[in-house]
Amino acid sequence: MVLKGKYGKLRLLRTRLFPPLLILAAWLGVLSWWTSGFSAFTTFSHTLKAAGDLPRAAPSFHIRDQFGVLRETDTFNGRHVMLQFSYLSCGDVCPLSMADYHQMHRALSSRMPSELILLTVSFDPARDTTERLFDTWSHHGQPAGWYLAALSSPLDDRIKEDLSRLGVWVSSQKDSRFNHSAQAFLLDPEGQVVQVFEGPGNSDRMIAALEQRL
Amino acid sequence: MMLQRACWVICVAVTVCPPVDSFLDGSMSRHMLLQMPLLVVLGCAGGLIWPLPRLQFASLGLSAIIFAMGSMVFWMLPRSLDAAVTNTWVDQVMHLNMLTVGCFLLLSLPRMPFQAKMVFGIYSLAMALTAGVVYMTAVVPVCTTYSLQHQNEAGALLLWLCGAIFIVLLGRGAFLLSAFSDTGADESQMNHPTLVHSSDSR
Repeated sequence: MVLKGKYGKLRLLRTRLFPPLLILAAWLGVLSWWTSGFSAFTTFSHTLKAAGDLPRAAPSFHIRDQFGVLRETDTFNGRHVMLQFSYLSCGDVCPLSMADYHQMHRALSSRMPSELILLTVSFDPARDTTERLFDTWSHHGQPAGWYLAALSSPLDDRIKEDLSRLGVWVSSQKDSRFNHSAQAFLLDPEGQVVQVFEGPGNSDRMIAALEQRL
Repeated sequence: MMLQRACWVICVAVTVCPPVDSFLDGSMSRHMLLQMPLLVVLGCAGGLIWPLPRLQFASLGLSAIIFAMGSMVFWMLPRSLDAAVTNTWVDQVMHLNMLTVGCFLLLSLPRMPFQAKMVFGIYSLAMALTAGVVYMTAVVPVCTTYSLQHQNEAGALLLWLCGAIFIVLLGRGAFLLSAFSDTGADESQMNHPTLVHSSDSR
């Protein structure tokens, strides 16, 4: 009787607990797969995660700076580069990122441009003309070593692929806006991404990290 | 019954096909606070129209609740929201999932003990509140398909909605408590109100 009772309870547990536990395990599996092990909950963080572990080689981009000079971003190799993508017509995140760069320049101007370059690249070469880039740079006091640039050609699949390899997600919207990642990438003198800073409002952390590295 | 089923099919088809689907996907608040609950309600209606077996809470009923909770978590993730808006197939999976959740909730909720209903309600509210606070206070967009303004707006609406649901639940709890005290129900009935209302549940 006792054995029968035990087996009966076990069978009851199995039939009652097994289906819910199976569903729970299935959901946890799906969520873990979808969020890369519960670490990437947004498209931005997933793109960053998919780009690979640090350090990794940064792709080079064709840009036009605030002086109208066409160049590749890897021409800055040999110095540390803080690279961020934005666009001047942005009304929410990009101005905050620019404020971070302004703070960084104020704190580290003695190391620029010999050891450190701040590089802001616009996704929007059509509206962010050389004049507009120069005016914005002048508005910030013409800081030496801070390059305000735009991609030399409009966003296409090849550029998007390169951006994905860096860890940046971008999409142009119908209303001429861009939804994009707001991370800043620290490149070492060999052109390797060695650190990524999430979102705006991180100037203190970025300055501390740069002071440690320079 | 045939007419009801035809109406249900038409309602679902209208909700999940353009232009209504495109309109509902057009803003974050419409997508999260209108389309998803609407599909859950339609799923419930489907469960009422098609006679399906009511699930015992302790076995398949609990599985249905876990399935519903998992679905809610999954479709509230920013990456899932993005995928549902940008990819038609994912969008259709979301529609189907929400209809299934509604149907499962109808099959399992009436048989749930009061305590389990409370756990489910508190969990759902807490999750929605957390999402609301995150969406309202974030200074960067967490979704790629919606602007920061849409996101903040959806967060604020979610908080208002949660507040309203919380007040309704609180009022219902107070009403139940006063009803029990008025009828002199003993403590065992308080702990198992489903026993009192078992004749009401189908």
